[in-house]
Amino acid sequence: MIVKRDIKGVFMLLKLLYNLVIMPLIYVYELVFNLCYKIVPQLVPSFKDPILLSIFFVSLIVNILSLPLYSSAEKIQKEQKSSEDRMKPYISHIKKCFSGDERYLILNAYYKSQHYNPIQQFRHALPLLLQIPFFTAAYIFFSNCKLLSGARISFLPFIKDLYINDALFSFNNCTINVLPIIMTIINLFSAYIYTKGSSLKDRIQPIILAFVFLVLLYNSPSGLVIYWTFNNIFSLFKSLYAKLSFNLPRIEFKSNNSLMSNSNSLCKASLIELLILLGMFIPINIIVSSPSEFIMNGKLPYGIIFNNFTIFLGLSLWGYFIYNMSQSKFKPFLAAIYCSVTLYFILNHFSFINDLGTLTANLKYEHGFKSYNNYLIKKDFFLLVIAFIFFLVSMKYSKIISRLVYLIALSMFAVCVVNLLNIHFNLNDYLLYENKTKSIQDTNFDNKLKLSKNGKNVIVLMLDRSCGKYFDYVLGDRKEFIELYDGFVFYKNTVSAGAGTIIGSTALFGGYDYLPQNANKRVNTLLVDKQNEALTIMPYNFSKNGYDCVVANLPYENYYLGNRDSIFKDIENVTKIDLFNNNEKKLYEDLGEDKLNAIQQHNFIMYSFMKVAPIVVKGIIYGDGRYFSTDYIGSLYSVSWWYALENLVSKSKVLNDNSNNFWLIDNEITHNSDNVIYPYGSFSPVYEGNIQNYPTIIDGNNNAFNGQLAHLSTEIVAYNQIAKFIKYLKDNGVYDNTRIIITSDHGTGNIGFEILNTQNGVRINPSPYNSTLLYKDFNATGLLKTDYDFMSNADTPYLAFDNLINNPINPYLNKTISKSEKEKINEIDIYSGDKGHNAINYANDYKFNKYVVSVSKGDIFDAKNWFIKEEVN
Amino acid sequence: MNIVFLSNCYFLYIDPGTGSMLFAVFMGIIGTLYFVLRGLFIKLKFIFTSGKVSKDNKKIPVVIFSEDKRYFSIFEPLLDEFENRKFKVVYMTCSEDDSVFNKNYQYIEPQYIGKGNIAFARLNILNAYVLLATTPGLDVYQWKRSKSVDYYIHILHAPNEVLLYKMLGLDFYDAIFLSGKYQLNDIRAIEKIRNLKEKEIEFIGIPYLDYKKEKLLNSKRINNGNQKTVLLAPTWGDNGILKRFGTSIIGKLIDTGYNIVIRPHPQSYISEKEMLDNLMSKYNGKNIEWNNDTDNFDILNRSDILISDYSGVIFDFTLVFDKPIIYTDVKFDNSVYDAWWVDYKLWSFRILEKLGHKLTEDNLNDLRNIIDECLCDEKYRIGREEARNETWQNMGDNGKIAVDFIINKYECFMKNN
Repeated sequence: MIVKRDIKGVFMLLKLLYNLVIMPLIYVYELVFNLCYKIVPQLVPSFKDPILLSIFFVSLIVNILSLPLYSSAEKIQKEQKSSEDRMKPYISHIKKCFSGDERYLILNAYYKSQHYNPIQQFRHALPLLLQIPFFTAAYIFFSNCKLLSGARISFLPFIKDLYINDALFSFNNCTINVLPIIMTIINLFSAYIYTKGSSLKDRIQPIILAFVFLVLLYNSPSGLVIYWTFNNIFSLFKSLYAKLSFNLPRIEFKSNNSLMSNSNSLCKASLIELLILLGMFIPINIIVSSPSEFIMNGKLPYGIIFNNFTIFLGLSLWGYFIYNMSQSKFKPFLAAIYCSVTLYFILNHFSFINDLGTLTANLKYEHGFKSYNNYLIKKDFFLLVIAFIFFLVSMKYSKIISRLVYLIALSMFAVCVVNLLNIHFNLNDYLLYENKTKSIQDTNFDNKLKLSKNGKNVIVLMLDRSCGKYFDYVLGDRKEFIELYDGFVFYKNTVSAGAGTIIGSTALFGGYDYLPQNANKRVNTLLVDKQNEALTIMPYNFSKNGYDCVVANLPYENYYLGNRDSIFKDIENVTKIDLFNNNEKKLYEDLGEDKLNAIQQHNFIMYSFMKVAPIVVKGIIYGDGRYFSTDYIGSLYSVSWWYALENLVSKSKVLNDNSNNFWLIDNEITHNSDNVIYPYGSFSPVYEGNIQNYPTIIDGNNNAFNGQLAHLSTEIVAYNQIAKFIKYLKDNGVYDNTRIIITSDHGTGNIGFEILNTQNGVRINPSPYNSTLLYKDFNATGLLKTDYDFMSNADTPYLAFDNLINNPINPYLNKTISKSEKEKINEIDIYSGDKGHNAINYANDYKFNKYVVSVSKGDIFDAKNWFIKEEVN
Repeated sequence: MNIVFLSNCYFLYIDPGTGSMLFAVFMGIIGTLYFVLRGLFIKLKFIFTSGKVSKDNKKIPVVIFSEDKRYFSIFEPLLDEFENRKFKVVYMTCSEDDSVFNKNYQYIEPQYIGKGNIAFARLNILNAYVLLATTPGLDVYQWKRSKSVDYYIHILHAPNEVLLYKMLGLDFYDAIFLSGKYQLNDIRAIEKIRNLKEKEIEFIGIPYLDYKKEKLLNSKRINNGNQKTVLLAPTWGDNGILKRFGTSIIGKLIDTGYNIVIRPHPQSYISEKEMLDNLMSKYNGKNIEWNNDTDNFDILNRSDILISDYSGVIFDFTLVFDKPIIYTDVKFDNSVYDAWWVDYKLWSFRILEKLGHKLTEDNLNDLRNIIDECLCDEKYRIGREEARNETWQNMGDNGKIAVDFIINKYECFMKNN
């Protein structure tokens, strides 16, 4: 009895086989097709049919890749036919003279004496059968290729849409598709050439097959039929070549004995290294930087790694099959090619690590893809030269080279293992933390977000990575905000103490005592404890003063260590809610989890390809983060955070009472530089403003500009949603009695920023440290004002408490929170995390060690205010 | 992207060449499957009929296998030589009443291993260094080469053709004992046609004929004077004289006035029993002796002339007893024999005309004169001498060369083990 589990197991096995055998080929075709489709118009702008050329190249690649298999199959079949022809008269005689068991036994003995095993039929079928996946993959690819939809061919105007059949003629509701007929004619001609000189039986077979497939393929999409037609043309050339080959000059390749005997080892070493690099090293390297960010709807990222591994394992196996099926004289060259390509990929990957920008969790470069310049092209060319030299060297010293490659593979594998362990431990802690917080915080927060009409409401909203300077451009795009943000003050000259949340957010929540320059003096308190202190200071004070406090999605609580209790457990009247997770889950349900997983997995594969591709091609593969996918739907992460903002409207409750309420909320919508594509809703968050309104970028790099544009669009979306919340407050009569502080832990991007030459001659980009600070006090009215006073996000607690909380204190330092801490300092020292952004990496640290620069309490956009302190450790 | 199942065969479309190949392979696979299943069925039949057997614990140095008691005479000279050398040999026979059990060998261990598949099951797992047999068809029929036997040697049980075994009969032996150069040519011709590895060849002569010759020399020569004794010794089957000429030849023989001895082939008593019974009853009381001695020595010694078809006894009679023969013109259908594989006339048929006179339906009436002619004509004596030179090398060796070869092989394999 087959139970469900067994059926599921069978399907999983089939899926695994599919991933190993078919999917790698589909990816190769996708690459070839899309690269051709994108490159041809750039190289030959006048060429009108890049799609046709793309189909042609896919067909060419399919035929080239399967050529060794075809040749091998033909060779084996010829040998088999020759054996069978030789044995035929004897076999006929045996069958005539003997019967029953005796006939079988004598036949069997005869086969044995001829070293012929009838079961060899299966072995002989193997090269033939190996071709089927090539054609299957091409069929699947073209059947799902949305680029064909609506595409036409200029010189074949009767083809209206490559995604459907041509239907050239029609009468009486009956359509005639011409392309399949043309394909069949070529097929028949090819069959004629192929079987010329053969017996009648051998000639009839391909003719019958041609007509069978005419019937079967008659209604296929035109693009697919064109692809098959190209296949038939290649087949025709193959047949012609085979028939004429004795007349054509043979190119004899010379190779030395050492390469012949070691080419197998070289081939295996190269393919193993390719597998490790593309299938493990690259994806693991991304994930290890912040494993929790790659959790999709509760699914751990191991599936991504496994998928990458199986796809590239399949690709490596195909490489090995093709190598094995090749003629012996070509094997050394093929092995050398594999080796030099592998080396090029390794060099390429490590050479351009820092040249492409910072990557987000959905594999988008947050500042856009830095396209190539002359320097990068020269660098890449140099790598190609090295690879070519390697090709020549490996021809002569293949044994040594293969050992070197094995060594590299082993080292890389060791790194992968270590990183995998890091991912595992990291995720363990994160899950522990998640489970603990889930049990504490409420995802059903109906009626928890309260606003009172008669009491006081204080809302502190942190927008992660919202950059102060960008708000200028937000206002430039949405001029209505000047009016909508009634009573707000925009503190333009605001700085944070770091470019990352782990540094910048502490002071935001805790005040000036938590700037690194002050916090570092507390050498006996762990950084994680300092973060926790900072996060609790505002809720502690508001709670003590009778406010109902709600905290939502605060950053780096407990540094996500799972073995700690909630930091709010000893503070009364604090409700923790989660405004984010349920949104993501809902989105997954609405959009289809399988589809989203498939997109993620697809992008990871393409990312691997992109990471090792030549520099001129990287941007094409990247394709603004879409990686050729037509199913791209943007970042669910950002969309989920949008919903979190929307929840402030839909899930809050206005009470006609005298309660006092405090909201302390973190929202990550501005963290990713995404063109937030909202799948349904009334607005289009994809920015389509006029870029001429904005200053040109200093380096004139258009691709970088696109990334900045993406971030700008995200900021616009965020503030647009906040504007709706503001309107909601106004409509419900709780605007005037609500104090709102919108701030950020740090800035981002460099739109319109100059790179400043500081006092010491160090060039600094201030934008990562330029955080947002918007403040609306009780009863404040008027158009949004811009203030140029020196501010820091560490001013947030003071602004929250000002004239509201009597004598707010820091209970951990037993200090009053006031302006005095700000007045004591002359500059703010900016630090950087030396262990990345992963909080767990700092779990045992007491201070931030990496000092970067200092800025005086002046205009942060003036270079003279930036300097390096020599005496800071 | 979903998995595309085989029900959608569009993706199978390939180019004409590959499609054709696939089609051919597909048909081949069907045929192969049938072949494989057939083989399994035959194997199962063998397993169910062969009974339980156990493997030998210790490797036997030399095994001689005899499928029937009638082959004892073939092996007897070698067994005597092994005995003389005090070399232990195991003699496996399928006949419970094999003569070997009556000989008091000290070093030869006779074993009755059963008949048919039971015997083959034992042999298929035999553990020995060297095996000698006279049975063709090793590794063709149910008797398979054992993985634990190092070397298989074939010894002929007739002084003439190697090509008159059923085809492939000797293909899977490692070595063959021969007695004439033409036999070597035949073996090599087959090996060339079938691309087989060359077998080791040893010219050992014809030991059992050596024994017969010795026996003849030691026995009383019989002179029948004018009352000749004519021996009719046909083979069995459709080409046999009795089937072909029927009663007419017996009648003609009686008319000659000579003593007539009819010695049907032992197989005839099984396969042609009805025919024999009819003949015996028809000619009961006539001057005909029906002979079925196990050992044909006496009757061959008593007879002056032999009338036969293509039976091997012709060569016993001419080579050992040095007497003429009359043979029938056999329309020999070589379809099932190795002889079919070569396109030249077999030695046996070439030499016949030098050994005696051909008897046909046309000259049957002249049988008396033919007999007389054969008895007197010198050319047949010369022919017999020629035949002996061509097919009986190492005459008088009595199996010594054969035994030397076997022991050397055994020692060689024992060293390697």
